[in-house]
Amino acid sequence: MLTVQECERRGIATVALVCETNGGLTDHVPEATSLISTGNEDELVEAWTPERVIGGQERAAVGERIAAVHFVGGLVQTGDARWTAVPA
Amino acid sequence: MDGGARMTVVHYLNQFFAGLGAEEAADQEPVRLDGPQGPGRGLAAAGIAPDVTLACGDDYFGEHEADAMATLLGWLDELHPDVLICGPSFGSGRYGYACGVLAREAGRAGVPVVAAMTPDSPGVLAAEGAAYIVPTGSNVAAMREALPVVASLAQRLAAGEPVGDAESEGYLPRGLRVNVLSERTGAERAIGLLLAKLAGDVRTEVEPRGDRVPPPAPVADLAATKVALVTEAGCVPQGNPDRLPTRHSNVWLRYPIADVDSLDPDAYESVHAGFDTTSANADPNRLVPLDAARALEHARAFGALHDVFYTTSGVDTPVATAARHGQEIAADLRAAKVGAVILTGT
Repeated sequence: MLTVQECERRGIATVALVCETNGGLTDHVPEATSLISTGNEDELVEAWTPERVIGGQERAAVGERIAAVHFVGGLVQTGDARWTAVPA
Repeated sequence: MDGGARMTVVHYLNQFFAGLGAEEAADQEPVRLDGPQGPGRGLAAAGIAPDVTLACGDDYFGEHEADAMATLLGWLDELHPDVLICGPSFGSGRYGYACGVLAREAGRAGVPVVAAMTPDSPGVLAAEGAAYIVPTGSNVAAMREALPVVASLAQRLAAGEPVGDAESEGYLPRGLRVNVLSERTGAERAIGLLLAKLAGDVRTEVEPRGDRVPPPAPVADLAATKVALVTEAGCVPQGNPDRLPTRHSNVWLRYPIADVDSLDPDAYESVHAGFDTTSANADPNRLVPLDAARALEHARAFGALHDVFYTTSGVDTPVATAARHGQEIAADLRAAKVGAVILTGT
């Protein structure tokens, strides 16, 4: 957000790609007038059970709902996925 | 509807739409009627016939809300409806409010609820996002348009089928954000937004919530002020005895430091999952600057250091949860007569 602010202040039109947390942003500046939502990290989704786990200390129980962000690569701010979040 | 499973549909109306009378019947106590009444017949024609209609007078609900709700919720408890439909109440204030309150309490009790009213109805606020509310025009002329949307949502909710986002389904946003797959990738949409911006058309997919907090006024008399140390750096006693989550934390903790002058690396560590903790663990005072604060306290730079420090791990924490943590910690600080905080983040 501070990068967006500085670019806009210098006259550079800027768009940022951000993940939302249930519609909230961890930070926001008034200059950030053009944002792409790459999805809501906190939407609870069904967990699936991988056949093999490498590393890590936490795991979800079968049937437990987990935040979408916990799927590695599920919601990324790189812009190469089609996910976005909309009001519901 | 499938497999012969019978669903139970309950409809809530005011005295007028239930056919019990107009203003002279506004003090009608809650009443339970069999089958569809008034607009319920329109719902039946749209494919979802109410089995039971509950009705209450507008004034009775307003003047005896607790009693009315106890009766209505008691009936819902007995009926175990697969879906509750409230209204449409259009632009009616009292009726809309009653619909909103019933929708909220039924929704929180696990009953899927569909209501219909004008977007500025007091019922929308009263429902607090616990129901699907279909926006309508201000009077009964909007009935024909509203009922098919209400019926479609109610049918799917009753059958346990998924419902889409607010815009595509035609209900008012409930304050949630759901993930959907866009036609285009984020990168493609970003370029589109940027080109539009350069052409003078400024648009965004995320509207920030208006909860900016003004910075507090400077501390008036630091020499008479108790100062507290608060961190979101995940600093805890070695071994994390209270199991502070390393990310997505839903708790904050506090630890005594009354007899501690410096955070020993053998006694404290960071469990924060959002940064490389190597330097922090080599000297936990880098997380919670207790050594420097003690030196300033001895030099009388401020009144006294609070005898506990507060900690959580601030990574992946939803904004709403973080706001609650802040409010709870602030209340605790107020109770301890703390006047200033050194907040260390990562």
